[in-house]
Amino acid sequence: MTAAKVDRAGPRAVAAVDRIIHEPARLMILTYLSSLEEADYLFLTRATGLTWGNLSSHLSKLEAAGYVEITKRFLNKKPNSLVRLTRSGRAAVRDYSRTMRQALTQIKG
Amino acid sequence: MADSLTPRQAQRRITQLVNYEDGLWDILLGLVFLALSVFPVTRALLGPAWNMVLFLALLTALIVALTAVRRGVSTPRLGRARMRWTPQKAIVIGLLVVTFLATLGLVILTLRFPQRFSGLVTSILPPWAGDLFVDGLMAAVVVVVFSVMGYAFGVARLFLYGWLIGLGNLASTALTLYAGVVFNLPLAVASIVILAIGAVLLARFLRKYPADGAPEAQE
Repeated sequence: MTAAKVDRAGPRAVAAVDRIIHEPARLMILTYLSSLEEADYLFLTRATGLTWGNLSSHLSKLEAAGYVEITKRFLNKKPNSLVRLTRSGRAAVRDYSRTMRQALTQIKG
Repeated sequence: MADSLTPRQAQRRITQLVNYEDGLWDILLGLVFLALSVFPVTRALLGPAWNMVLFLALLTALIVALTAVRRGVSTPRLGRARMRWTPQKAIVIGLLVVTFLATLGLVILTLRFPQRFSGLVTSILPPWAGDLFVDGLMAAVVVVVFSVMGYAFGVARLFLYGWLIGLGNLASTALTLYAGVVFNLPLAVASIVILAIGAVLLARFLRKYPADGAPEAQE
């Protein structure tokens, strides 16, 4: 949803925010990834405090939405997955942040 | 959880995890300043040129060792991450570099033209203040640089390190000038405190983050 739509629809427009990003754990993952070029699964579990399975499940949803790109590789014969925010993911985070800020401003009056 | 995490907090948390969580940076800092505290003793034994060679070789060896230990010990426990270059980060690093270069320039000027500088300072300040002016200025710069780093990266102990190193160096110069003590004892004590903090942080890091914490196969 764009900022212009929020202006027209008012605080009710919050209901139409991007639900993929709006989930707290996914928002946290995306906030960390916004500050990073790339990170592997282990680093993201350490930074977010999420369990391995939980992180994996959220990253799968973000990957399906096209917001993150996951590259699987081998390091010292062990599997290692690198995660990076895609261009559309970065734009979606920016849009989400702007939409929420404007909606909250309108709610506060 | 996520609703209270701002991008700035995320950046700070990443910086802390990548650079300061394992205590290795603290150990490197402690060792470098411990070497600097022995610097006057080795200079008397080896002469200025060889002493500088020894110090630079030691510094290089320490940096190589830190990189190797971080790669072998920290990365398997913490994971891999590459930070994004942001304008805010560039400004903080730029300010730190400019402050460092300005101080270095001032120190070189003072050493190059001691008479002119000493005359200028003692015309304004009492003689003892003139003796300690450059070291006092360096102490102030060290405190400022470490405080800026502590604030920007959200690492509180860097404030303490700034004061420890700044005052340690100043006290060492005062002891050398007025008591004839060659060994920089206050700076050595400051370095040992930093080393001890680093060692405690490393021990906590090894306990908190087990090496087998990466079940990639479960993905």
